[in-house]
Amino acid sequence: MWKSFFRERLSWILFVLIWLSIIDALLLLEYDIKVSSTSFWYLNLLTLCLLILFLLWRGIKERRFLKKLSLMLRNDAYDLQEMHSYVRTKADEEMLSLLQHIDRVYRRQTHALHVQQREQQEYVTTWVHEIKTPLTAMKLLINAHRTELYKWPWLKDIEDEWMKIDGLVDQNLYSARLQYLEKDYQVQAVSLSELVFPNVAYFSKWCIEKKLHIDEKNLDTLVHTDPKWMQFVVRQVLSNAIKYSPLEGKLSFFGEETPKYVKLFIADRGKGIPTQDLPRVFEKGFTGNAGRKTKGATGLGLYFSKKITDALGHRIEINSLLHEGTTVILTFYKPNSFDNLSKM
Amino acid sequence: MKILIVEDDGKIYELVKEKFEQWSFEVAGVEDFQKVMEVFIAESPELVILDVNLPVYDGFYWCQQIRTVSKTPIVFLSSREHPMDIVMAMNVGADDYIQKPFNLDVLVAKVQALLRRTYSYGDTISDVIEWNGAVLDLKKGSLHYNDQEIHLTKNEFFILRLLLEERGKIVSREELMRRLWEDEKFVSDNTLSVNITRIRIKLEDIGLNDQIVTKKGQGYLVN
Repeated sequence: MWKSFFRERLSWILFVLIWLSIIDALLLLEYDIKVSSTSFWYLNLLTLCLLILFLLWRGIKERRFLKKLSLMLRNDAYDLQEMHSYVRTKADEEMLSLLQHIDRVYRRQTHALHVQQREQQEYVTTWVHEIKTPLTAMKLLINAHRTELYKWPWLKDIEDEWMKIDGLVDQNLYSARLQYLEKDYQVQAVSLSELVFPNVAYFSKWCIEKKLHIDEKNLDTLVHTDPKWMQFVVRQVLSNAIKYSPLEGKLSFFGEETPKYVKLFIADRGKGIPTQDLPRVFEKGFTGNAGRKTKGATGLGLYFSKKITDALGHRIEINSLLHEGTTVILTFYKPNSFDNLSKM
Repeated sequence: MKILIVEDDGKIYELVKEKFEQWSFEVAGVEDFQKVMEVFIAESPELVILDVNLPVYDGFYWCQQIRTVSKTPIVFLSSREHPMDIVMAMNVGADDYIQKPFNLDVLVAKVQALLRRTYSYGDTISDVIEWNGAVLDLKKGSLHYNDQEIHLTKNEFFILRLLLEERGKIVSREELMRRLWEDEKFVSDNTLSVNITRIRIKLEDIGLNDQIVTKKGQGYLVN
């Protein structure tokens, strides 16, 4: 800061120095003026000392405001109003009023954006709730005629499409809500089966059509989580597992408990994920080769899952071998061990 | 037993109504959504099914209104799935909360359970299905015929019950499996065949021969 202060006043300093040299030259060269060498050096030294003192005084005075300002702005929750008590010079005042002007414009804009965003989010939420009514009516109609499916074979396809719409609507709702996740969850004790079984039941149509075999073990284990959010995560994982499972494949759900955590393994015997794709599966919009061939792969399911598990303090990992299958592991840390983790 | 269904979506109302009428409930609906209380008082139903999103006032409001005069069980139907909404519903005095899209069988089951808990049961609610002189006890999961009783496993009971509910219609194997899966009984195709065979043997044991007819390529039929 001192450096920039001196650099900025370099022309003034040079001006004084040149002025002093001109006087010196006059004193030495002009024949009419006689000065003793003591006086000559006295004049020079005095001028230089006064110059340095003057610079120090101005520097301290002018820099104080800047120093305070930069200190304050380092804090995100700054308040420019407070800076008024540190104003020393006219220049400080001008700078402050300009900054306040910029600040006001910026705050007005972000506020408008916030309002707009909140409205948008509210609209999406209402929209999702509104659309659930016709979706329910449609589902009830389909169910009412399901028993006599052989009479209406196309009903199957309609139900498939219905499930896709329902899944996308859910994704929409959860993505709109995702930004408020930190404030919007309620942790309770739920068994792993409560996270898994309703979702398997939800996908029963696809599982039965693919003749999938369900294998489950240790799902009575309790975990502490928000069931809504985690059911959504499991649904995303499960929909992938079913989508990429072969005919008569097997879906396995295992719970594993240690003193520190509970793990839920969701494994399929599907086509697997190529090793080079594995690090990218949680990226937004990443669909991989398999996904690109399947219509309806949005590349959002796992991205949301990762965000949700992170926010809830859980963990999601994927292991996969090409042509062997994929295992998704959800880790729920136990309350005390999670405290330890966050302290680390 | 009379049920009041307060639902502004016509299609859903029709389908729910039809289902409950199948279960021989009397069903009343609301046409003017400013006058839910009037309808409630005029019909005095044994149970109310309330949608949350309604024109004029929402379901929470009507639930509070009903609670000021009556302890009739109230089931909410809603597309809102936020825990706060459920808490809110319970706070205004609801007995149960079902999320859209819901399954009609689940709704019926919840309503029956609620009625059973609220009113002294047996005399008013049919908890049995009668069928050619045989009686399927829905509570005990057993079948009675000519003073004989057979016990059924969970899956067997579930399958037989479904076939009896859809009596006279062909029920496909796929549909049977789906109903089982939706009830979180993830059975395989083979298990289903084994169960059907076992039900047939058990029926024959008490003299009910050839009751479950196999329709090739279509499914099963009970008359």
